[in-house]
Amino acid sequence: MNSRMFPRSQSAMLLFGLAFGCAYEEVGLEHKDLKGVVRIPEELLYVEMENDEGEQWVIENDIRALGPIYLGVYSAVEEGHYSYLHPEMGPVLEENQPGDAYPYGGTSIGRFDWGCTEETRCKLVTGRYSSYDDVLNFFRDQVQDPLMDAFGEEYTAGEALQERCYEVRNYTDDHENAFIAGEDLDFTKNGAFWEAEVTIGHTLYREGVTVWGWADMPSYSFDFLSCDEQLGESVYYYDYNDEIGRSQVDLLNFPGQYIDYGDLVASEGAVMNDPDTEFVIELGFRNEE
Amino acid sequence: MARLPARSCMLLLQILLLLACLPGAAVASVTAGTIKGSTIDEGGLPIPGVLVTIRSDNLMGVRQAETNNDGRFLFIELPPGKYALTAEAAGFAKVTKPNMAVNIGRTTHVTVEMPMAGAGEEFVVEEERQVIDTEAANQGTVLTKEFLENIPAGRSYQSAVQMAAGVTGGGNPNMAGSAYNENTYMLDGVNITDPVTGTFSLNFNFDAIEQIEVLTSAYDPEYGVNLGGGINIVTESGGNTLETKLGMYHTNGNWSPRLDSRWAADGTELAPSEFDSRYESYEASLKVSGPIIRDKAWFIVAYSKVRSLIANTGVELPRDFDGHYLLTKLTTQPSTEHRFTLLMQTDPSTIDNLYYGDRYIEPEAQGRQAQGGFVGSLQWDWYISPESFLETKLLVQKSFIEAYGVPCTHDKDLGYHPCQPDELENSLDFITPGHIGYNNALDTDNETYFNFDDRWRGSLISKFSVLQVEAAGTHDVKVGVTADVTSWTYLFGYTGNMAFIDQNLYYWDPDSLTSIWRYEISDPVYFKSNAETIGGFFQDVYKPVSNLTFRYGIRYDQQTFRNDVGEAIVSTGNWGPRLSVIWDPWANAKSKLVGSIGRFNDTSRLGIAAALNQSDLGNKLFASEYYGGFTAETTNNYLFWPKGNNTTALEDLAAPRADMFSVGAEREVIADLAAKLYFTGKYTRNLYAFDEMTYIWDDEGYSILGTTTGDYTSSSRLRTPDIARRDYYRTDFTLDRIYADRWQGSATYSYTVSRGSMQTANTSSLLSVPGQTEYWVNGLLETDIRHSVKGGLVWEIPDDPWTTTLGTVFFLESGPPVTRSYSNGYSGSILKDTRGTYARQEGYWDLSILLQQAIPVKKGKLSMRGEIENITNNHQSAYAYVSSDNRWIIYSRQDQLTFSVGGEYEF
Repeated sequence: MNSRMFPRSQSAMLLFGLAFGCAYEEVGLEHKDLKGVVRIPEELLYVEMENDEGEQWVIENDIRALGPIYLGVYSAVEEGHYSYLHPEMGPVLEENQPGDAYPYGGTSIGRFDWGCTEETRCKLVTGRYSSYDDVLNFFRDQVQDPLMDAFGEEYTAGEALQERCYEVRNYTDDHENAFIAGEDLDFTKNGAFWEAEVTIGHTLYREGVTVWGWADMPSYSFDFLSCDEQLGESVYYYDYNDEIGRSQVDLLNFPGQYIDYGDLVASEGAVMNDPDTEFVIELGFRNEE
Repeated sequence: MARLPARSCMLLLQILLLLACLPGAAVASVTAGTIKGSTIDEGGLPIPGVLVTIRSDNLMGVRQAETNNDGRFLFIELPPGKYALTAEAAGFAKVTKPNMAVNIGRTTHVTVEMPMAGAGEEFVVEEERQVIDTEAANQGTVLTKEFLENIPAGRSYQSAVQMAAGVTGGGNPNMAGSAYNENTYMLDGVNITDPVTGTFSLNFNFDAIEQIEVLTSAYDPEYGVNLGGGINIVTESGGNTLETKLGMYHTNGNWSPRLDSRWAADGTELAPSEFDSRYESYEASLKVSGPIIRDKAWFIVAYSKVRSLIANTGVELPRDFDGHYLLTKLTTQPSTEHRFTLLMQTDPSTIDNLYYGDRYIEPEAQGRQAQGGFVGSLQWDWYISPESFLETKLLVQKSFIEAYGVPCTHDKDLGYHPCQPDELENSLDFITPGHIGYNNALDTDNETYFNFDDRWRGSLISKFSVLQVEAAGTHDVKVGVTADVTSWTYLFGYTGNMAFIDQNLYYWDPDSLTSIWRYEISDPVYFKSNAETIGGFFQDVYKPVSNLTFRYGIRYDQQTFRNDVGEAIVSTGNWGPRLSVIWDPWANAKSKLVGSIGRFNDTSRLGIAAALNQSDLGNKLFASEYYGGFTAETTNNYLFWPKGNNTTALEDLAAPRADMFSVGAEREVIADLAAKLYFTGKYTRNLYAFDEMTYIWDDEGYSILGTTTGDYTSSSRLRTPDIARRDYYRTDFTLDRIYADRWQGSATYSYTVSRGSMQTANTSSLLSVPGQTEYWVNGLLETDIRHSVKGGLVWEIPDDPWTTTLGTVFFLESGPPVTRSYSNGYSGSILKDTRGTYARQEGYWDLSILLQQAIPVKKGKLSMRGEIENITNNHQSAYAYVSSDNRWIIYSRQDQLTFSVGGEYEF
């Protein structure tokens, strides 16, 4: 009954809206939603891996290896401070500490989520996995570090991981598990690029502001520098009592502190002269330092 | 569709509505009813010149009208009650209809068939009872005095109004999917809603209530502005007979089983736990009414003393409520054209042993709260002609709350120092020092503080009605203006001359092991906020033909709400157009089809503007060394600055609004019984909300990625974005049986879907949301109670000469959804989109029965009453939480089964 009720009622609402013909628009709101596309050349999407035994391998062209993409809106971008393009900074007040970039706004594409097991803290990013099996397969085949259950046994079926999440977090629907995207994956392939649409919501807009961004790529051991394991929700369960991790809180203020080897950075900023024009950011520079 | 700019759109709307309104336009007032009728002969032809007379115990004198050429007659602005109508004309028999019901806001239609006969011949015709009002479009109900007195509602009008479809919740109900603070409470036609909180502001004398009108949709513009519904209480006025009613009542729930049930969201039931509780209440009431001068001046005085002792788990001392409710009303009608009514209602009360967390000194002392207020109103009714009427009302209202610690307690059984009279008189404890709190002062034991809170309202209302205007049909037109001034003064402070009350770590330097601490300063805070609202409305009941009615109208309200430094925080002008079409397809008053559409605006509240007050506690910031505990040495190098309000308001706020439509059908299926089917949709937009402006969030509002200012001082802005919304749909099926043959009843089944980004508009808990607007999610709201059944029945059992009355009410509701959210750790919790099969709280059903036995005694009537409320002793959803093992635990508390006894003597 529910699913049938809404279309009908929305039609009624539309008629009502037509009858009244009015919609409130917030006047004087300086914050805008900036929309655009982030694209990543597929040849740059790779991660060099190495295990404790010194074995090396490469995860290639696999969107599941992509960490969060952090996007900021800045007054400008500049070269010279780092090997990559970096947002213009404010005064340097402390030695060994870059100046604050004072972003007007920003967002991310994907965020760190928790896969209901200790090993997945700060390793799972939303919008990258379509299913529980997808998660298990990736960690087993690509990361080569299979996920283990509470008894130290490898998860062999997605249902088992799902059950674990439902139990630990008391979920009743996969939709509550942010790291399971189903068909709503953030990135799609477009020619030689991986592309994602993004909205930087509620951003203070000034003419000429520049959108800039970077992608946190995992280290050899599949760790992400931009994730803080001491933050995030606290989860208490029989075999897990800890925080589940989330992004560092000043990533957009001091991005240079978090961009490390292998991260992908915007090769140029997108200058916004019209908030309604869509921007395009290409993460075309791979940081090798 | 390209959207018009808002202002252009408003102009267009105004022009369209003005054009639409040209023929002119409305009617039965919010405190009175109307009788419309016609006289016909045995052949169905109209009889002009018939003298029609009406009488009622509630009407001063008699009213007379002469039928026009079409045989029609009209009586306007009739006090609600039972009426007798007599029609007389030469050549026709005199016809009397002795028992006609007139209800507030309703029109009673009557057709008098007069047989030809000789002089002196008289017929008494029992009026065919009107089940369906074919001119009314609003959905809701009118609760008559007889019904209120005979249903088990605990002598509480707030309980009684739960009978109406679409009303859920408690004393401040959710009406038609609204928040609890979005309704209008009216007393004898004037708005007495609390100007700060939007909740009810006054306790009433239950015995003095004549009728209550509960409105949940499609009500006329004159009922004012709100997003929810209206509760319109009309009080008695007295009569030509001196009447006295004495009553004593006691309610006790102490012997009720008390079990909390708990279960996990997956349905696993956990071990129940018994809880302590105490529930007792006592009431003594006296009502005297009668004439001062017969048919010229009446009075009513009603007094109730109410005391209740309520304690829940973990609270040693019962909350001790002691209230005195007094209503006095004087009505005088010096001539048939003019009537004046002076009403005073006051409800001074105290609540002792108040347990506000750890707010007061324990265990020797507890908190005391004095509260109450008064309403004084003067009304002038001018019957200009049989078809036109002017009513003018002046209102002054005050409510107050004074809370403070007292060094004593009321319960000497617990061994504490009992309060002495002089201690209560001088009970404000400025002496006992508090101590410095840690991290959160309110979590510690001895922060005794006080607050004095005064709220004022002054209103002027004037309405002019003219009925039966002929212009392509008939029009009942009403225009009116309202002016409303409100203010709120508030004093908050800490007792004992405390200097610091809260201690927070502001910054930690790991190299020097130095902490920078921030202290909030306990200087008293005083502020005053105020508001003005002026409004006007126009409404018309237009009948182009006898079986088709258009109710349309519009109201405009201009409102300005200021914070403590006079800044206009909310300043909006709002149009509220409404249109209803009512069609009686067979023109026999046995059925009707109704369609309504309308916009309902919010008047805002002082609590909204006061959220942006600049008066607040100050901060001291100083460096100190800290090695595990606060020490007296840490008092150097401090800096003080006033703690400014980090909240701002968007300059151009919209008024929250609800666009509502309803369609329905009613049919008298058997005599005196109507079946009603309604579907209501309501779209509430632009609710008040705060957004955080300095934090930058990730794409789900989970993590902060940075800040625009470089530090983590939160800065919020009051907005009314379109996405702060609620969508509400409800389908009702009602069987309504009016009083006849000794019984009356009503039963409604409702199916409700309610989704939105926020339920409440209460600014005391700021809704902080991530700056990214798309993360306002549309989750299932607390009002998403899918299945609801409510019913009431009153049956007078025939055992003459005694009168035995059985009243019963029944409620069944499926549980509301468990609110799913995740905490982002910085700005509260983010409501999750609830597309999943989320758990719901426990549904409940309860049954209550009231049995009354009236015994004729010398000079009067003695009644005994016994009431059992919540016979099923069912569980009420209490709350849900995440346990230490991270399980959603849904908690329900067994509702107390209470037994009440009472006695009444009327003479």
